[in-house]
Amino acid sequence: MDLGDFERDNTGSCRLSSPVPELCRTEDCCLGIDEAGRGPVLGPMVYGICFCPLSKLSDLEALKVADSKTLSEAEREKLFGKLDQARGFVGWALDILSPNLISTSMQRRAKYNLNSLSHDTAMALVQLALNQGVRVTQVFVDTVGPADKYQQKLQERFPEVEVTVRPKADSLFPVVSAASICAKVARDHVVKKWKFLEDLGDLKMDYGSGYPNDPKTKLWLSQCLDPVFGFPQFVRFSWSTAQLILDGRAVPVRWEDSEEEAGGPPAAGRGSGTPSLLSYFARTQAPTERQSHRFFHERGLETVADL
Amino acid sequence: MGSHAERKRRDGAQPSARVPSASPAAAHAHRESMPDGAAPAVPGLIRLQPSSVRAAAQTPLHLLPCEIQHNGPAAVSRFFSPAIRPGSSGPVVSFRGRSLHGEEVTLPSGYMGLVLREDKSEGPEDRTVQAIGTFSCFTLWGLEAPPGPNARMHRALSWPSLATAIHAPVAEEDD
Amino acid sequence: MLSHKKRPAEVHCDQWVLVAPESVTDLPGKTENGPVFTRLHNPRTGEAALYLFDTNAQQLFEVKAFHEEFHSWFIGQTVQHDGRLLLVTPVDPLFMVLYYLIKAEKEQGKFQPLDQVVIDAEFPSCSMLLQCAKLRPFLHHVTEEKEIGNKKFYKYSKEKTLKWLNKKVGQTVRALKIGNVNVGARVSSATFVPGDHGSDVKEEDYICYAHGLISEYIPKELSADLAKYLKLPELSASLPEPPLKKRKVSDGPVEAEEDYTKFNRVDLKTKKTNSKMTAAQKALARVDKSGMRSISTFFGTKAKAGK
Repeated sequence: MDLGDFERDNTGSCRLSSPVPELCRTEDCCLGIDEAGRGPVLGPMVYGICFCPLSKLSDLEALKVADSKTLSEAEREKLFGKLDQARGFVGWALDILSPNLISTSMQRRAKYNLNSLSHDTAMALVQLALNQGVRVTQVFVDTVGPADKYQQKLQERFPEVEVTVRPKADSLFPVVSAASICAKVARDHVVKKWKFLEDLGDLKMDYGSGYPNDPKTKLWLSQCLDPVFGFPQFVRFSWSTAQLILDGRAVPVRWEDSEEEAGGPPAAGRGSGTPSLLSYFARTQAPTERQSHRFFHERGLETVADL
Repeated sequence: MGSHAERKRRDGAQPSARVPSASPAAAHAHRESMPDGAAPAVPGLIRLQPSSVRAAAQTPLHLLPCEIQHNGPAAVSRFFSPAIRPGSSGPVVSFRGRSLHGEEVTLPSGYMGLVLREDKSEGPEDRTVQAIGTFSCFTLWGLEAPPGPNARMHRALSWPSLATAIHAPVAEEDD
Repeated sequence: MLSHKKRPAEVHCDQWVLVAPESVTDLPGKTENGPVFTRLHNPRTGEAALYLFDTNAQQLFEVKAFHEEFHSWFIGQTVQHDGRLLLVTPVDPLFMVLYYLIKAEKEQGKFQPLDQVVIDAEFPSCSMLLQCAKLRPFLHHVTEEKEIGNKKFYKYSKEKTLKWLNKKVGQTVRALKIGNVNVGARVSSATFVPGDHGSDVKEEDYICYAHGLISEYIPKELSADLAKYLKLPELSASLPEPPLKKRKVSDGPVEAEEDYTKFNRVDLKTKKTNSKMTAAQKALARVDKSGMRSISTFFGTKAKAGK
């Protein structure tokens, strides 16, 4: 698995894919979708698809792929090697979503929640396979959220394909297990070889599993905290674990769209600065002379009374 | 502040000016004779230390689209600068998990930027500020979008040239 | 006065980002008395405002702040909460001295040496204005002069001042045109497009706008006199308007969410009528305006009464 592209820029997203087996273009295929690294507060989230002709399903099963979570890292590596050797009939593709992309999406002005991000990424991968000429007839998806809605969403998007969304699909359908192995192997590699953009000095990279409830992860988060910048981009700022540490120990930062959360009215003077007529009349309490010409209002220029 | 002390100084500074004089010419002469360079001993001045301006070095500045409720050290070169990368419309970076899009703003020609800091070691009456950095451009960051040509900053920076025109002496000739 | 306490708490900081003409910041090796900041009367409001004299007080500058909410600076390896950008721009010292000449004219009404006129217990540094290079050669624009022996005596001349201000307006109009400043219909900053002027921008709009800018530097009464001198329609000439997006000249007299007092309504209507007047009507209106009161003079009176 060549992760060079992602390593060159680990702030966005990156797509990796195997060559498409010729067989997958000529025969009906099933396609599995799974994700790795949804829960951790650290590192990327990886989406994987794996596909193989229906006629070759027993060959795939023979590789003894299983839910990646039940396997050790070494076993996953070994299985990914086997999948790679089966390139005559197995294809895969991955989308690696950097923690920075996750943070900035979830904290966007127009919020983009993790479910939407997951669904969109999964659909883009199915579309990729279709575009590459894979004759996808069945799609199997593992989900953590409500399966019905997700299934409906996918079915509407891909009406020609038979969609099955199922919790624990990764242990039920080998093609989903295979996808989960690809995704997990990629995430393991990325995390292990993470190149920090930030200069963290001699901070030990002993961050445990990356799951919020892991004491090692928690300790590491508080060790790498900078009072102004918060965390390195390896951390998902949008996770409540991270937010709580920031709220408690970092310098408060206010954004123009973070006001509503505080419950207060939107701050005056924001944006176009168009007070109501009533506020104009209200100002007559104070000397009206203070009003300066619109030239200055329109340019955000104020009189300064003192240094 | 010690307005008492200030008043004392003020009275001491301009005794002649404060008396409605029977002899205006005398007071006038006093003023006129003042050497060109010597600023009168007026209270309430905040002096900019010339040597500090000469010594001040070019400093990178970033104007962020958020309010950081803190004054003091910040590990900009460890956390921020290395994370800046080229985007399609200019530099892109993240701060606190939010995406920022930047734009280089150059000061109007003939203008120079100074970062001033007050030297509090002096007494409370004589305030002094020192230049601790200079700049001729800075990076203006927009939240999730580049500031763009409509940014208020650009319009604000058109003020110096208009101000110069408004405040230039009027042409003498015609009437 | 220059009390630390008086500075607003939120900008309480001993560091500022400032942009100034190179002539101010260019301080050759031997300069001992560098530039000084000081507080002077704002000639329009009479309130304290921050000014700057360059080395040897040869030139006067005002300090304005570009201020948008939710902004902070990174400066080198520091963060500065106060995200303002202070702009130092030249000011014609004649405006500042004019303030005192008019005051002296009201109080004494006689020829006086300048240093008897430019005296201020509240702002003693006003005496530095007399050192400005561009002051004495231009005093004749706003005063009658008498020379007795070697000494010069001055007396405010409204007539000469209006002529001078007229020229100021003229040079401001030229600068507005060169600078492509939108002097037409009010625009909200969100939709502001530089150079995108309404097609119906008239010379009068420029004069009106320039009058508004010049009015930033002269007492209110003089501003009203200048408006008459420029033959501007009474109401639109009357000073800085608040940044209202909703209120357009063509609109009706404002949606009355609240019961405004009767005279307010009348005044708003008057404004509307005036702005729609034909040239002939305007000429007619100019004949006798003594009985009319603009909305701003009304508020001005009220504000004073409240003090």
